[in-house]
Amino acid sequence: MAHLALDNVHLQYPIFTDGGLSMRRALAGLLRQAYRPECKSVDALRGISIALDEGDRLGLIGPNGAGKSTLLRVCADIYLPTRGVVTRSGRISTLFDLYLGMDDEASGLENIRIAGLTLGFEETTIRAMTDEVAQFTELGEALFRPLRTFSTGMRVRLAFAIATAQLGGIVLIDEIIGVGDARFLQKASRRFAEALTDASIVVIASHAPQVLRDFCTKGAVMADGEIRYLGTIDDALAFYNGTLSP
Amino acid sequence: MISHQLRAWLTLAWLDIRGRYRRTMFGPWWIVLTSGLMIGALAFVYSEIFRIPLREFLPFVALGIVIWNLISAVLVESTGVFTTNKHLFQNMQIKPEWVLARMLARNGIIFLHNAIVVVVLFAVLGHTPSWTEIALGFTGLMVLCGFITGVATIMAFLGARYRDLSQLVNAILPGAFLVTPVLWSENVLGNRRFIAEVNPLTHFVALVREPFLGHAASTLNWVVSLGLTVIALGIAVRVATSYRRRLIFWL
Repeated sequence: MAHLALDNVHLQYPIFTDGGLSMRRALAGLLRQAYRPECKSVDALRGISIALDEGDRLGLIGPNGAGKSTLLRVCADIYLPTRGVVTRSGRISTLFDLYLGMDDEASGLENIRIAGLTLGFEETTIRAMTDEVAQFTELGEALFRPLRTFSTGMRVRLAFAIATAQLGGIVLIDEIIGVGDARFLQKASRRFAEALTDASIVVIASHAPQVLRDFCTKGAVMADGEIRYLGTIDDALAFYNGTLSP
Repeated sequence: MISHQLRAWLTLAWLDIRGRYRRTMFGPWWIVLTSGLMIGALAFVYSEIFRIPLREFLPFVALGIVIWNLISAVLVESTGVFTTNKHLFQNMQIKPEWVLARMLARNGIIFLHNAIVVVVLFAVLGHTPSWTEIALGFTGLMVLCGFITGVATIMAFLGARYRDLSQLVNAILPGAFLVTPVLWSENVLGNRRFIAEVNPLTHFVALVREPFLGHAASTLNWVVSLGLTVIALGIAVRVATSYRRRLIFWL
């Protein structure tokens, strides 16, 4: 059974300003016999506790800088929390950046392969993924051309198809905005919905109430690195609109 | 699991090379051509300056340049290898080792291309090292690979934290090329050999080059190289285990 739990998770990260990463500062510090390792730090997450089980769909709501993306990256094991414990069981797949690892000079097909290799898939999986993506995007012969010859819409189609090809298990999604022509958009949301139906746990950070209502059952309202409200998605949206929005 | 991931990153390294020479007529053969031109020109000019017969000087310079190019390319790329892959680190759970392996493999592939120049040159000059010499040369090469893997790991982590490091490496390397016996032999220093001997790179260059030229590398070469390799790898393991989870905050 898939499971994702955070227990009193805190995350501080250092902010390196201009010169902050420089050796001069470190050397000067050493000379003064008082080496201050990090200049400033930001409390990105403060005491987050959530427990998600099979079938849970959580929407993260909050203003910019509330900590939604950071929280997703802690769940994905990209950031190690400063304090607190994260427990996960099940495969984690993420959709944080549609264009991850895409190369403008490589052809569409090569980009599918590069993405697959970067994500650590086996050759057989990549071959299956290539066929599937080719079919879904309907890009046909264009897939043999370098990515730089693609129109913006074609790029989105390819990137979206690659990124969603292997979603499964615990799915974490950060702010994806649909672009493309109307017919593709429809097709895309169908694919997206299918991928999410099969997923065991879904966490989505979004500013679009419609997206959240469509895909989530629970909602968490975040502000200043804390969870201010946790409940059903409708209640969470109402709380957010009532208290945190003008 | 490990092996298929490693294979994936090696494939990515090869795709990097292909990508770099995309739409060029000669593709990766540009690597061979570039080194060939440089070796030819340097050997031609410096054999006159040093008054050494070209036949004798060519293999010496060719090996020296090919070895030096490997060392300097890895050093230059290592300091920025994590920052250039920042995007990957921020968006997926990725092991720093794989990113390093991709960079090292890319440079390994470039080295193999460069080695073609040496092989062709040896064939043309009718210079054939014995099997023992070849075996010794490759053993030396393995030691060098161990050393640069260790140093690259340390530099990669430090370079992400201290951005001055990549500038420093760029500032030092061109000079290091001139003061390291790559184009010249430490024997010309006479009783001031220590100038070359305090330079660790001297020993690594000698370790790989000497056997192919038909002389054995000195005991000092072996002791220094092996010692430094063990130290570098030891520090690398410590750095990589202590800072692997801090790395993301430095990018």
